[in-house]
Amino acid sequence: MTKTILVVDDNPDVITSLKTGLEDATRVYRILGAENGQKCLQMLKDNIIPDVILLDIMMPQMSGWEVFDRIKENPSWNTIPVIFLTARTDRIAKNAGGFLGDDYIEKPFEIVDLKNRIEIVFHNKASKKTLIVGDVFIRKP
Amino acid sequence: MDIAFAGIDIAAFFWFALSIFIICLVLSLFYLFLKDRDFRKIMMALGILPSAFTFLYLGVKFPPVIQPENTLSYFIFRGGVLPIVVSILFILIDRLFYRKKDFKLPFIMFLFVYILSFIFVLSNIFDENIYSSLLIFFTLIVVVLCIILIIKVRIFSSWLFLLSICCFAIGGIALNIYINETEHVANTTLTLFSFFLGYIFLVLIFGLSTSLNEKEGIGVYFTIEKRLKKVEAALNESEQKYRQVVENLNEGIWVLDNNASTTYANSYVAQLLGYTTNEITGKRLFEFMDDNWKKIAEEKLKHILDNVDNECEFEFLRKNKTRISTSVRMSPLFDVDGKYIGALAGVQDISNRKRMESELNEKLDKLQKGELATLNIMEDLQNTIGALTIAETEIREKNQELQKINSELISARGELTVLNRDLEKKVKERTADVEKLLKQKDEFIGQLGHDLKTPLTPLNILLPIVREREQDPQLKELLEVIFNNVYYMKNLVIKTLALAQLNSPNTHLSLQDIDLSMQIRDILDLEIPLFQGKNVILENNIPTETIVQVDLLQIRELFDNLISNAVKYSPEDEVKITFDAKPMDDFIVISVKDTGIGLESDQIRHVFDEFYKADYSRHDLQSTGLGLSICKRIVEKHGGRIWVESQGKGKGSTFFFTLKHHKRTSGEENIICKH
Repeated sequence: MTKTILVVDDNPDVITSLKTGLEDATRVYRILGAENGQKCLQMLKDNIIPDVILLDIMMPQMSGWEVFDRIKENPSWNTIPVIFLTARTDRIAKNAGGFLGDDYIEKPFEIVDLKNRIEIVFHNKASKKTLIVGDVFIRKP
Repeated sequence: MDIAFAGIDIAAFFWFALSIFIICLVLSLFYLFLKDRDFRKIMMALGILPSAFTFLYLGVKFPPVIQPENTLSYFIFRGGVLPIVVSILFILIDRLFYRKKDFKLPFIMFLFVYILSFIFVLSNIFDENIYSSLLIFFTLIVVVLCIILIIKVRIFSSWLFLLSICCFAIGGIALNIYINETEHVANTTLTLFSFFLGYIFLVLIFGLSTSLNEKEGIGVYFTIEKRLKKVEAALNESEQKYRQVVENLNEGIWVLDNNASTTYANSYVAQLLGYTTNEITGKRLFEFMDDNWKKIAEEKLKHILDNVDNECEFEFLRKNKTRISTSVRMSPLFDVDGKYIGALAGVQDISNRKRMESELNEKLDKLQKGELATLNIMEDLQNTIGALTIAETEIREKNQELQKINSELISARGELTVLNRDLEKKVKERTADVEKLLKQKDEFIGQLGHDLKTPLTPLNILLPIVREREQDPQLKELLEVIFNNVYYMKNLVIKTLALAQLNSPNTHLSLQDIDLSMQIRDILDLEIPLFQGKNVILENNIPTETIVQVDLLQIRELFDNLISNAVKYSPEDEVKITFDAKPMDDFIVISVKDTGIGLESDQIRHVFDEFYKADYSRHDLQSTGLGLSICKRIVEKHGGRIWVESQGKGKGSTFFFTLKHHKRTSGEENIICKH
């Protein structure tokens, strides 16, 4: 089954290159692109629910953090895994990406590396679901 | 007128009177001729003697014919009675003054009364009435005095005495009556009996044994011999004691008679002079001195009674003709009567003291000489001081000049201070400027990094794809060049950013405890795919449980750099990297040893410099020249030190760095330290 990946980045070249890199190379992903946060949220509202969102942090108008907050606020979206794409190497970015999102990757990244991370997130999501069920089950009584 | 004695055996009376006479005579003579007679005994003898003769007369002439014309017999008879009373008086006085040692006054009193009573008797010898009333009067006085005595002196003999007095009184009165009324025969018997009893009591008083009272009675004189012997023995004993004491005294005792001849000298003296005690005894004091001292000694002895300065120093001549210094203290000796009989000298050997004194004098002499020398030195010193004073004035002048200069200097310094203050201000301003600029630089690099990284991303993604898809080998070669350069640029950007970040004071370390050995294993697992076909042997000798408190990400970076460095600079196909750790004080020294190309001493100096490359001539797109600089910064941020050792080209190199050894204590985990 082809997985849908939504790439949110103000640089269209990044979207293009990822499309080429991930879609063409593997042919198991469908890449969607959004040039800013609003577009991303609009797509989600249009009920285009991707399997993972690759979210750039430093964007004009609406930053990656903001977009992330909106996604997590919405109960129908908050299960979508988010991988931060960041050019920032300072610790806050790393920590935020690691703690808040499901993962983060630093620009400029190797396509192989990104692919690995995406796969790990998919895997985690699958196991997490059962985990959540179990969690609820345990908490119920 | 004849007087008849009815019922009395004349012969018996005679013997009775005679015996009383003998007793009285013996007593009287005994007292008179006692060796140690004194006033008391004389008094007693005088008192008793007339009584003795009275009884003799009575015995011979009995029955006495008392007629006025028979003057002698009358006189004796009456004169005999009176002394009895007087003798009683004596005893009374004796008793009254018994406790007084001086008996002159009572004796005089006694003699006075004694003579007085004879005068009375003689003047009234023919007046019977006066005489008899006088007798009664005397007798009464005696009785009263006697009672007083008994009250005052309560001793046994006082009672006897009272009895005796009473008997005499009764006898006297009876006799008087008998003389006047001749027909009273019974009175005569009473008289005699009373007198007899009185004498018996008197004898008893004087004859009392010493056992009753040592100071009483005639028995005293019989026991005196015994007592004397006792006293003598006691005296001997005490003398022996004193002699012993004196003999053993650590001082010479020398007793001289009034002729300065030796009567006694103890062994100390003998030893001192080198004679025996017997040799000294009898010799004159002056025989042990030379003429000079003899004079002094004579003078001293002459004035011994003046009690002036009786202690003096003498020099004696010893038997072996040597001299000895002594200290002699002389005191006069007197006999019982207070007559000067000689001198007692205490002799002390002071030769030691003398010697010490002379030594002391010698020393004092030396000291005085020394003092003289000191005085000379002082004089020299004074001269020197004079010279110094001159120098001092010169110095003072110079000093004044100096002060002038100093004041100028001070004013100059003041100006300098002002300038300095300005300078400080300027420096502060500059520092602030520099800091601001540095901050701007950091921000700029951060921004630049970000700006560079974003366009690098598509390049990094797309170039490998393009390179792979290109079929034309010529183009492919060109793409390879582009790819390498992009790769290099990417590395450069990442490392520059990393270094900028490490240099930034705002960068914090996120410290956590890690087991170094475990971490190395993890890092090695990750690194293996990056070795680009080289055969790399990794050896981890770091002992487990080596706990260090570090920022994990940075430590990974550190090992990353070191490992890639080692691999990069190993031209051979095979490279061996050995990790080790050793504790050293509070630190752990970690070593990363490789078998690479090694370093020369010049390179060792610069290997941690930014953008330093071991080989500039080679255009090396693998190396940015920043890896080891980053390593250095990381280690320094952790408070450690990094250095490299190498035996030279081709002999491999070993990188060492220290990390703080963390000894676990509670509440210390994950502390964020600011560096």
